Amino acid sequence: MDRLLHFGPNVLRILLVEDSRPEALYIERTLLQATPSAYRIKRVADITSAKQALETGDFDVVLLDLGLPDAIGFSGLQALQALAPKVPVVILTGSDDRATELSAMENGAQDYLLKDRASVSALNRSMRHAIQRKQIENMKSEFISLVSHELRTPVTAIHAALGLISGDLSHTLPEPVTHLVNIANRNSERLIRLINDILDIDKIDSAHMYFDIRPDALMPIVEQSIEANAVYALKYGVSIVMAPSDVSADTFVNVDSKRLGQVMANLLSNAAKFSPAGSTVTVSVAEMPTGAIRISVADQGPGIREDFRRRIFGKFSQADDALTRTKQGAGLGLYICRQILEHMNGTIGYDCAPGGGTTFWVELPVETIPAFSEARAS
Amino acid sequence: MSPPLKRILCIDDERDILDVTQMCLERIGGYEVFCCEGGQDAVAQAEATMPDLIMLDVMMPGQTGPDVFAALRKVSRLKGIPVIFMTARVQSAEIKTYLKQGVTSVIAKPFDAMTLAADVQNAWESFHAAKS
Repeated sequence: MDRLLHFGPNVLRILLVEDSRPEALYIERTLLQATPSAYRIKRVADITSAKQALETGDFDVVLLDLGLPDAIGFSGLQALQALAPKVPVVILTGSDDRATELSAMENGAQDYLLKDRASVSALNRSMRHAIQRKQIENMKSEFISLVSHELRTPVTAIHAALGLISGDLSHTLPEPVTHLVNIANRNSERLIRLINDILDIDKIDSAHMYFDIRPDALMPIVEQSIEANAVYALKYGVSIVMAPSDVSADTFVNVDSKRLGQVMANLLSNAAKFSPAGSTVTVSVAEMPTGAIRISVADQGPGIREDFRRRIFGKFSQADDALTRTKQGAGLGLYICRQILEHMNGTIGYDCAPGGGTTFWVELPVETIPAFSEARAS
Repeated sequence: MSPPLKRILCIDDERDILDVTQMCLERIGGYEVFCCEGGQDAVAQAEATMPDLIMLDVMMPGQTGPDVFAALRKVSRLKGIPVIFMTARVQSAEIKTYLKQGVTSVIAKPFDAMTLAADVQNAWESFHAAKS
């Protein structure tokens, strides 16, 4: 607990990112006039210089203006966090607007301060608060990461042992034992998915989810995801089929293929889970009039209840509450999907057919690779 | 054509993980598997067994996977042996870092018992394909 009570070194090292010289000077003067020896302030006027400063020096807190020349919206905040995930950020803004305040916090800022209320006490309070909040966030992330890793080790042993029994040794077992082993095996898989989801949520919340985005052929990713989820779907008596598509086989998208595979796994397993036994889940790929590529996963399930639609992409969203729940899962999947797609400039949505059946879709911009098409053409 | 993969050395600090990994690779893949508990004796064990391929746990107390990997690379008769990292931390960025260090492949934990041997075989073949 010592770390919580300790607010950092006696001299507070501040990185002030503000392009307006008068406003920057005002903040510097406000702080330094009160207690000059308590602060060491480095002032920069854009995100590029802020990144350089964070790379070369240590800072306790960043004061970040939102209207910088080289950053749109919260892109500056995100860039700084990716570079220095442990340094807290206080957003400085000229507008007293609840929506901006909320989205600053959602985008990972630790606090928010109106410039015209930036008195020495307000600034101090805000910086202390941000530092403390960041320390708690870091501790939470470390704790989740540690616990997840500690959970994974025994789960690895259990999962592999059960997999070996049910896969390679099942012929040596009497029928009731095979049944029990399959139950244990299925549930170890469920536990693994849950651990992965919790880790992902924490990475999203702390802006620590990293992406390896590069141009990749779309069709193989879709086909592999169908293959990988077919067995799971069969447990519900559901088969997954691919609809014929006009989309060219060498259509490229700019994605992290593992993360897109994760989104597909989520949509396919949801579709299977909510479909009646004996039905079919249909995957189709089509080019939209906008030029984007849409991957659709259509099920023949009961559809989505009206009152659930609004919060379906929210965190911990389940159609039923915990006590009346009929389907397993923590309700994290679609939230994670939406976050992943946002990182890849994609969108996710769904359509409900009137008589039941839901189609979830993902849209991604098509990536044109001149070198690749030329190589093909010649 | 890659030479046949026969002998594999598994290094992990968890005895149970070593046991199931060994069983998966022996029963499903038909390989001869040697186990080394922890990173401390890894180099000595590698020299004693001279495996075709090494599977190495990343998160081990004391000598971590990357430490062991660096130590293996310093021994001239071991440095050509392909190494697969086994890890519970598998973000793309981390995999990239490992591959940049010269690791042949990364296999995620928990792994699938029935496909582990095939994954190892694939890594072995692409290692030799890249060499030729």
